[in-house]
Amino acid sequence: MHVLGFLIEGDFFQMNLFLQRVINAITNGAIYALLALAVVIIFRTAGGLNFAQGEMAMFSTFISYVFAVNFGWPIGLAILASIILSMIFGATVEATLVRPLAKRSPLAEVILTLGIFLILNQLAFGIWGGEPRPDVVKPFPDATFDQVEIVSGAPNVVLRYESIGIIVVLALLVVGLIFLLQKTKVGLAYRAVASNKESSQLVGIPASRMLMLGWALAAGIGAIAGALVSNNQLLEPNFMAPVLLFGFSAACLGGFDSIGGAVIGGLIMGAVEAFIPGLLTIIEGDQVLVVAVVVILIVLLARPQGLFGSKKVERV
Amino acid sequence: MTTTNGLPKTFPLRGKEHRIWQTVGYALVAFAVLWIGINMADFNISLFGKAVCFALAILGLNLTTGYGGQVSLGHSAFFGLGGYTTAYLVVGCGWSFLATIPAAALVGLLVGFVTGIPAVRVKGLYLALITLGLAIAFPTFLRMPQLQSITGGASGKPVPISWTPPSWFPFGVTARGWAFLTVASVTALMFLLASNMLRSRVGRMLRAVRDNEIGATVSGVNLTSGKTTAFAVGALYAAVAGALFVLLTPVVSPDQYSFLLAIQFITGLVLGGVSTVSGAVLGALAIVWLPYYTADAANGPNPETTFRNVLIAAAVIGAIVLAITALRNREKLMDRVKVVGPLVGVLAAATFLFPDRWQRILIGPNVIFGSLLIVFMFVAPLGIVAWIREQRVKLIRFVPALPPALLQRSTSATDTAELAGAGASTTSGGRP
Repeated sequence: MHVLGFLIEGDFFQMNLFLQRVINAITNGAIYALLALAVVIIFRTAGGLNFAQGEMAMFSTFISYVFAVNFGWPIGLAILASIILSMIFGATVEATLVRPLAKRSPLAEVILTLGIFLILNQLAFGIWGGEPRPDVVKPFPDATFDQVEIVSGAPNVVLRYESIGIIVVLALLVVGLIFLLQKTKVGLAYRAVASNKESSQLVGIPASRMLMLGWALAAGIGAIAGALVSNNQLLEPNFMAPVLLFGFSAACLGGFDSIGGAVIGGLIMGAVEAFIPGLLTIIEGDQVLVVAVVVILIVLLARPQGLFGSKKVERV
Repeated sequence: MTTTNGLPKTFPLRGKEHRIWQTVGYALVAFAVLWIGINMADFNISLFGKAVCFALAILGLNLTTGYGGQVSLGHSAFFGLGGYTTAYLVVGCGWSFLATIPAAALVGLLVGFVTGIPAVRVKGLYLALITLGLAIAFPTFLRMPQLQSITGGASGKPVPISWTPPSWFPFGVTARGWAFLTVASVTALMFLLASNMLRSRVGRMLRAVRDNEIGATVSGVNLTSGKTTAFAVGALYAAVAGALFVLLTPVVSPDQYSFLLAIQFITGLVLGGVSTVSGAVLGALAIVWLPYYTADAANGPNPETTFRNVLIAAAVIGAIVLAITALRNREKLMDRVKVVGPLVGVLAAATFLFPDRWQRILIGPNVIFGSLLIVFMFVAPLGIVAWIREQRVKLIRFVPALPPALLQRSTSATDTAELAGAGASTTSGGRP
């Protein structure tokens, strides 16, 4: 091990540490998978990327904070209310701003979502201040000993309650989403629009409403992701930016139009975040961000459709 | 109002007169810059200096995105790269400041070229994603402890440069004023180079690649070199801007070059005008001065007056636009009403319904920038300068001097004017 010491941490292959890293990878990966799902759901119908996704999630987390702390609602109800509000917001943004610009150019849409990014970011700074909020009510217990010990030992392996909660939420959400898209009439309409917008309009599917649905679902999922991230990170206006970058790279890795790909991409990015700092000791702390960028770069250059996405054929 | 050939009647401006007006314009700008550097207080000079540097960076972004058609959200990184190159060479190697500018340009060119390589395969949104990653990763990269000795780590690196006016300069000027004049001179030179380049083979190549890749390839343009050139040249401009900026704020730190800076450049680009050289200056002035004024209003006693003024201005402009539309093009009226109506409605609601505290939050610089980005995308997607040009084409027409042989053949002056006018009316605009 000493030969590779400059590259790999000495205790990288220690069993318990390794197991703990796997658990962390799955927990963080679940959150990235959620954001990747939000990205994919918009991309499949509207074909754009929402660069304000993270800020929308941040804002709805602050809304649930207001409900829970200022109004004293139970945390579940507060999060539910914030999810519904962000779904309404997402649908409104799509109908009033995104759709009229969609025909213009990709740059117009990028600029539009950057505008939303700026507004939401500054509003959050103005209303709640830039300091991390100390009094957040968390959806899952996260005190020091809220955990199950799986393997005892010098470095023990623990499964924290919040990890369990996050993974369960992801699983429920994926099952619910698959049910919605595969088993319901709305889902069929959504998939029809995703596959061919013009043809689906010809058979009488309200395509514009499906685009709204896409944005609403994405905003709702983003709100859930925000609430989960606030469980182990301090709530402040910039707290979603790095998470969103990982979400983008997860969506990129899985393929921008594949729901299963988003989940797997998210889990892989979780693994990247958990293992790379141990494998390459020169990378530490938030420098994993650089790795996320490198992943985006490699995927887009080597396999632009991602692992599970469908290949885009362009007619010339 | 229209002549026989369907074009609106316009005031022709002949080649020579056009030249004279142009020269007068340039002289006025030069005079204004000198006046700012010599007479203004140091604080205002700093703001104008910042605007000049930003103008150069926005011009770089415009070369990449506006003319080259390659979306870049990563120009803050190129800007920072120039700044750090200068800082390293001045502090670490003892170079003189002016000598570091070509070095920064070279570094920008190389890194821009490398960044442009993905653009060869990746387009539009995906390219935006890659460059977004570049912008977010750049400050993190600067903070790496391994680079501490070069970058100064998270806290940044002070760059003391003594910059006093030389004895040959005839006017009394402060050190800051002299720094501003230096920055402005280099910027003016770079603007001249850019506008010449855009009229050359390289400029035509960039536009051809932007407008139609297949068409460009068929006409013999090498797509790979077209796209990498767009990035390389754009990054060179941003890097030079970043190097110049160090002279005005003698410190470089990772936080200065965050993703928000890249969005500010984009805001300046959209406001000033995509695919215009002079738009970069207007856009930069807007993004530097707007926050200054709005901060004034936000901290002032009565933010409602600011809102009321903006509301009145918006209502008047909206009414004029609607009136003109109603006279000229009835079919478009409803489209315009759909944009103007909600806009004025929202402003009115903000003015009369919102309490002070909310109004103060709403005049925060990023709320203004974000709103302007969205509003401009709907109202004037090509920016202020392109809009002004569009209006000007309706009133004034530039008539280029004809070659002597043709001049003898043409019987009357009006013929040549019609000839040239038909050509001029098709040359305005470009796509964002």
